[in-house]
Amino acid sequence: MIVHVVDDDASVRSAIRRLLRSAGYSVKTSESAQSYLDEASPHTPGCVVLDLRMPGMDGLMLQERMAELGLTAPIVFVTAHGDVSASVRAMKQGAVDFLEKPFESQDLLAAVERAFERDVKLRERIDATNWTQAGLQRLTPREYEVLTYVIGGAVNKVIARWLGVSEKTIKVHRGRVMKKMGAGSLADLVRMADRFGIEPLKPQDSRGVV
Amino acid sequence: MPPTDPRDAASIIREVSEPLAAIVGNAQAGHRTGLAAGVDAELLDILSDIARDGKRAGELMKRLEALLEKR
Repeated sequence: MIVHVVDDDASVRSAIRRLLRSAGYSVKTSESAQSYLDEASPHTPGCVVLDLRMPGMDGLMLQERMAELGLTAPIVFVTAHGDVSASVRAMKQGAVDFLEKPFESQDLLAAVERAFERDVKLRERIDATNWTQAGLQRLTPREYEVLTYVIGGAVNKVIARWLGVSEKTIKVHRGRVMKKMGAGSLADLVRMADRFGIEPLKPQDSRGVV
Repeated sequence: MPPTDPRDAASIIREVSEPLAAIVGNAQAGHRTGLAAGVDAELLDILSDIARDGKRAGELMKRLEALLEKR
Protein backbone atom coordinates (compact mmCIF):
# COMPACT_ATOMS: atom_id res chain seq x y z
CA MET A 1 0.00 0.00 0.00
CA ILE A 2 1.37 3.31 -1.07
CA VAL A 3 0.98 6.91 0.06
CA HIS A 4 1.27 9.23 -2.91
CA VAL A 5 2.35 12.76 -1.96
CA VAL A 6 1.38 15.48 -4.41
CA ASP A 7 2.83 18.92 -3.65
CA ASP A 8 4.65 21.43 -5.83
CA ASP A 9 7.05 22.46 -3.02
CA ALA A 10 10.15 20.23 -3.05
CA SER A 11 11.00 20.78 0.64
CA VAL A 12 7.49 19.88 1.77
CA ARG A 13 7.42 16.81 -0.49
CA SER A 14 10.70 15.63 0.94
CA ALA A 15 9.72 16.25 4.59
CA ILE A 16 6.36 14.49 4.23
CA ARG A 17 8.06 11.59 2.46
CA ARG A 18 10.56 11.23 5.30
CA LEU A 19 7.83 11.45 7.91
CA LEU A 20 5.71 8.78 6.24
CA ARG A 21 8.70 6.51 5.73
CA SER A 22 9.70 6.91 9.39
CA ALA A 23 6.23 5.59 10.18
CA GLY A 24 6.77 2.59 7.89
CA TYR A 25 4.81 3.58 4.78
CA SER A 26 5.93 3.20 1.17
CA VAL A 27 5.84 6.58 -0.51
CA LYS A 28 5.69 7.99 -4.03
CA THR A 29 5.86 11.68 -4.79
CA SER A 30 4.63 13.92 -7.59
CA GLU A 31 5.20 17.62 -8.06
CA SER A 32 1.96 18.23 -9.92
CA ALA A 33 -1.57 16.92 -10.28
CA GLN A 34 -0.92 15.94 -13.88
CA SER A 35 2.17 13.93 -13.04
CA TYR A 36 0.14 12.10 -10.37
CA LEU A 37 -2.56 11.28 -12.94
CA ASP A 38 0.07 10.00 -15.36
CA GLU A 39 1.15 7.41 -12.78
CA ALA A 40 -2.01 6.59 -10.85
CA SER A 41 -3.98 3.39 -11.24
CA PRO A 42 -7.31 2.37 -9.68
CA HIS A 43 -5.75 -1.01 -8.92
CA THR A 44 -3.04 0.27 -6.60
CA PRO A 45 -4.23 0.27 -2.98
CA GLY A 46 -3.28 3.36 -1.03
CA CYS A 47 -4.09 6.99 -0.43
CA VAL A 48 -3.02 10.48 -1.45
CA VAL A 49 -1.63 13.42 0.52
CA LEU A 50 -2.54 16.37 -1.64
CA ASP A 51 -1.61 20.03 -1.61
CA LEU A 52 -4.55 22.33 -2.20
CA ARG A 53 -2.84 25.13 -4.10
CA MET A 54 -0.64 24.17 -7.00
CA PRO A 55 0.04 25.84 -10.35
CA GLY A 56 -2.02 24.38 -13.18
CA MET A 57 -4.50 21.83 -11.82
CA ASP A 58 -5.08 22.52 -8.12
CA GLY A 59 -5.98 20.01 -5.42
CA LEU A 60 -9.76 20.41 -5.67
CA MET A 61 -9.67 20.01 -9.46
CA LEU A 62 -7.56 16.89 -9.06
CA GLN A 63 -10.04 15.50 -6.54
CA GLU A 64 -12.84 16.00 -9.08
CA ARG A 65 -10.78 14.55 -11.91
CA MET A 66 -9.98 11.47 -9.82
CA ALA A 67 -13.69 10.92 -9.21
CA GLU A 68 -14.34 11.17 -12.96
CA LEU A 69 -11.58 8.67 -13.71
CA GLY A 70 -12.61 6.14 -11.07
CA LEU A 71 -9.45 6.70 -9.03
CA THR A 72 -10.76 5.93 -5.59
CA ALA A 73 -7.69 6.64 -3.45
CA PRO A 74 -8.85 8.49 -0.33
CA ILE A 75 -7.37 11.98 -0.02
CA VAL A 76 -5.81 13.90 2.88
CA PHE A 77 -5.50 17.57 1.91
CA VAL A 78 -2.71 19.81 3.17
CA THR A 79 -2.80 23.54 2.66
CA ALA A 80 -0.79 26.64 3.38
CA HIS A 81 -3.88 28.70 3.97
CA GLY A 82 -6.98 28.35 6.10
CA ASP A 83 -9.30 28.52 3.13
CA VAL A 84 -12.60 27.64 4.75
CA SER A 85 -14.72 27.38 1.61
CA ALA A 86 -12.11 25.14 -0.04
CA SER A 87 -11.97 22.90 3.02
CA VAL A 88 -15.75 22.56 3.09
CA ARG A 89 -15.80 21.66 -0.58
CA ALA A 90 -12.96 19.18 -0.18
CA MET A 91 -14.74 17.43 2.68
CA LYS A 92 -18.08 17.41 0.86
CA GLN A 93 -16.36 15.83 -2.11
CA GLY A 94 -15.17 13.04 0.15
CA ALA A 95 -11.75 13.99 1.53
CA VAL A 96 -10.58 12.17 4.65
CA ASP A 97 -9.17 15.30 6.27
CA PHE A 98 -7.88 18.80 5.65
CA LEU A 99 -4.72 19.97 7.48
CA GLU A 100 -3.09 23.38 7.62
CA LYS A 101 0.66 23.83 7.22
CA PRO A 102 2.70 23.60 9.32
CA PHE A 103 0.81 20.57 10.60
CA GLU A 104 1.55 18.40 13.60
CA SER A 105 2.99 15.13 12.25
CA GLN A 106 0.78 13.03 14.49
CA ASP A 107 -2.26 14.60 12.84
CA LEU A 108 -1.00 13.77 9.37
CA LEU A 109 -0.13 10.20 10.34
CA ALA A 110 -3.53 9.68 11.98
CA ALA A 111 -5.28 11.00 8.86
CA VAL A 112 -3.21 8.73 6.60
CA GLU A 113 -4.11 5.76 8.82
CA ARG A 114 -7.82 6.59 8.45
CA ALA A 115 -7.38 7.02 4.71
CA PHE A 116 -5.87 3.54 4.44
CA GLU A 117 -8.69 2.02 6.47
CA ARG A 118 -11.18 3.65 4.14
CA ASP A 119 -9.33 2.33 1.10
CA VAL A 120 -9.32 -1.23 2.49
CA LYS A 121 -13.06 -1.12 3.21
CA LEU A 122 -13.86 0.28 -0.21
CA ARG A 123 -11.83 -2.41 -1.96
CA GLU A 124 -13.46 -5.13 0.13
CA ARG A 125 -16.88 -3.84 -0.91
CA ILE A 126 -15.91 -3.69 -4.57
CA ASP A 127 -14.49 -7.23 -4.42
CA ALA A 128 -17.61 -8.50 -2.67
CA THR A 129 -19.85 -6.95 -5.29
CA ASN A 130 -17.80 -8.40 -8.14
CA TRP A 131 -17.85 -11.81 -6.49
CA THR A 132 -21.60 -11.75 -6.01
CA GLN A 133 -22.19 -10.60 -9.57
CA ALA A 134 -19.99 -13.39 -10.94
CA GLY A 135 -21.77 -15.91 -8.73
CA LEU A 136 -25.21 -14.81 -9.90
CA GLN A 137 -24.21 -15.30 -13.49
CA ARG A 138 -23.13 -18.86 -12.73
CA LEU A 139 -26.43 -19.97 -11.21
CA THR A 140 -28.42 -22.51 -13.20
CA PRO A 141 -32.06 -21.57 -13.93
CA ARG A 142 -33.23 -24.02 -11.26
CA GLU A 143 -30.74 -22.63 -8.71
CA TYR A 144 -31.94 -19.12 -9.51
CA GLU A 145 -35.55 -20.21 -8.96
CA VAL A 146 -34.65 -21.76 -5.61
CA LEU A 147 -32.85 -18.53 -4.69
CA THR A 148 -36.01 -16.47 -5.24
CA TYR A 149 -38.02 -18.81 -2.99
CA VAL A 150 -35.34 -18.95 -0.29
CA ILE A 151 -35.06 -15.18 -0.01
CA GLY A 152 -38.85 -15.04 0.05
CA GLY A 153 -38.74 -17.04 3.27
CA ALA A 154 -39.94 -20.44 2.04
CA VAL A 155 -38.61 -23.49 3.89
CA ASN A 156 -36.97 -26.37 2.02
CA LYS A 157 -39.97 -28.70 2.51
CA VAL A 158 -42.38 -26.28 0.86
CA ILE A 159 -40.03 -25.55 -2.03
CA ALA A 160 -39.48 -29.29 -2.55
CA ARG A 161 -43.22 -30.01 -2.66
CA TRP A 162 -43.76 -27.16 -5.08
CA LEU A 163 -41.03 -28.25 -7.44
CA GLY A 164 -41.92 -31.93 -7.09
CA VAL A 165 -38.48 -33.01 -5.89
CA SER A 166 -37.05 -34.30 -2.63
CA GLU A 167 -36.14 -32.01 0.25
CA LYS A 168 -32.58 -33.26 -0.09
CA THR A 169 -32.43 -31.99 -3.67
CA ILE A 170 -33.52 -28.55 -2.48
CA LYS A 171 -30.86 -28.61 0.23
CA VAL A 172 -28.24 -29.34 -2.44
CA HIS A 173 -29.49 -26.50 -4.67
CA ARG A 174 -29.55 -24.15 -1.71
CA GLY A 175 -26.00 -25.10 -0.75
CA ARG A 176 -24.78 -24.47 -4.30
CA VAL A 177 -26.50 -21.09 -4.41
CA MET A 178 -24.89 -20.03 -1.11
CA LYS A 179 -21.48 -21.19 -2.31
CA LYS A 180 -21.67 -19.57 -5.74
CA MET A 181 -22.87 -16.28 -4.27
CA GLY A 182 -20.33 -16.39 -1.45
CA ALA A 183 -23.08 -16.00 1.15
CA GLY A 184 -22.37 -17.07 4.72
CA SER A 185 -25.96 -16.94 5.87
CA LEU A 186 -29.54 -16.38 4.75
CA ALA A 187 -29.22 -12.76 5.83
CA ASP A 188 -26.18 -12.35 3.54
CA LEU A 189 -28.13 -13.88 0.67
CA VAL A 190 -31.11 -11.57 1.24
CA ARG A 191 -28.82 -8.55 1.30
CA MET A 192 -27.00 -9.56 -1.87
CA ALA A 193 -30.24 -10.31 -3.70
CA ASP A 194 -31.61 -6.95 -2.64
CA ARG A 195 -28.52 -5.16 -3.94
CA PHE A 196 -29.07 -6.75 -7.34
CA GLY A 197 -32.81 -6.16 -7.39
CA ILE A 198 -33.79 -9.84 -7.30
CA GLU A 199 -37.41 -10.18 -6.32
CA PRO A 200 -38.33 -12.70 -3.63
CA LEU A 201 -41.08 -15.09 -4.73
CA LYS A 202 -43.48 -17.42 -2.95
CA PRO A 203 -43.76 -20.89 -4.50
CA GLN A 204 -47.39 -20.30 -5.38
CA ASP A 205 -46.76 -16.99 -7.19
CA SER A 206 -46.43 -18.19 -10.75
CA ARG A 207 -48.65 -21.24 -10.77
CA GLY A 208 -51.28 -21.12 -8.04
CA VAL A 209 -51.52 -22.39 -4.48
CA VAL A 210 -48.96 -24.89 -3.18
CA MET B 1 2.38 26.89 -4.23
CA PRO B 2 2.60 29.16 -7.30
CA PRO B 3 5.15 32.02 -7.00
CA THR B 4 3.91 35.04 -5.11
CA ASP B 5 3.45 38.63 -6.07
CA PRO B 6 6.13 40.35 -3.91
CA ARG B 7 3.76 43.20 -3.16
CA ASP B 8 1.23 40.82 -1.73
CA ALA B 9 1.91 40.36 1.98
CA ALA B 10 -0.81 37.77 2.38
CA SER B 11 0.67 35.52 -0.24
CA ILE B 12 4.13 35.80 1.29
CA ILE B 13 2.68 34.67 4.62
CA ARG B 14 1.12 31.72 2.85
CA GLU B 15 4.36 30.88 1.16
CA VAL B 16 6.29 30.98 4.46
CA SER B 17 4.14 28.10 5.68
CA GLU B 18 5.85 25.83 3.13
CA PRO B 19 9.37 25.95 4.60
CA LEU B 20 7.81 25.94 8.08
CA ALA B 21 5.90 22.76 7.24
CA ALA B 22 9.12 21.26 5.89
CA ILE B 23 11.04 22.27 9.06
CA VAL B 24 8.46 20.78 11.42
CA GLY B 25 7.97 17.69 9.25
CA ASN B 26 11.70 17.04 8.88
CA ALA B 27 12.33 17.57 12.61
CA GLN B 28 9.55 15.18 13.60
CA ALA B 29 10.59 12.65 10.96
CA GLY B 30 14.13 12.94 12.31
CA HIS B 31 12.83 12.37 15.83
CA ARG B 32 10.95 9.21 14.86
CA THR B 33 13.85 7.88 12.82
CA GLY B 34 16.34 8.72 15.56
CA LEU B 35 14.19 7.13 18.25
CA ALA B 36 13.98 3.92 16.23
CA ALA B 37 17.76 3.97 15.72
CA GLY B 38 18.44 4.54 19.42
CA VAL B 39 20.35 7.81 19.07
CA ASP B 40 21.44 10.03 21.93
CA ALA B 41 18.53 11.51 23.90
CA GLU B 42 20.04 14.96 23.51
CA LEU B 43 19.72 14.71 19.73
CA LEU B 44 16.08 13.74 20.09
CA ASP B 45 15.51 16.76 22.33
CA ILE B 46 17.12 19.02 19.75
CA LEU B 47 14.80 17.74 17.08
CA SER B 48 11.74 18.13 19.33
CA ASP B 49 12.70 21.70 20.03
CA ILE B 50 13.09 22.49 16.34
CA ALA B 51 9.60 21.12 15.69
CA ARG B 52 8.11 23.01 18.63
CA ASP B 53 9.58 26.33 17.54
CA GLY B 54 8.60 25.72 13.93
CA LYS B 55 5.01 25.30 15.08
CA ARG B 56 5.31 28.40 17.18
CA ALA B 57 6.41 30.36 14.12
CA GLY B 58 3.41 28.91 12.29
CA GLU B 59 1.06 30.20 14.97
CA LEU B 60 2.59 33.66 14.67
CA MET B 61 2.05 33.56 10.91
CA LYS B 62 -1.61 32.70 11.43
CA ARG B 63 -2.01 35.70 13.70
CA LEU B 64 -0.35 37.94 11.14
CA GLU B 65 -2.61 36.57 8.45
CA ALA B 66 -5.67 37.30 10.57
CA LEU B 67 -4.47 40.84 11.15
CA LEU B 68 -4.03 41.40 7.44
CA GLU B 69 -7.48 40.08 6.68
CA LYS B 70 -8.98 42.64 9.02
CA ARG B 71 -7.63 45.58 7.05
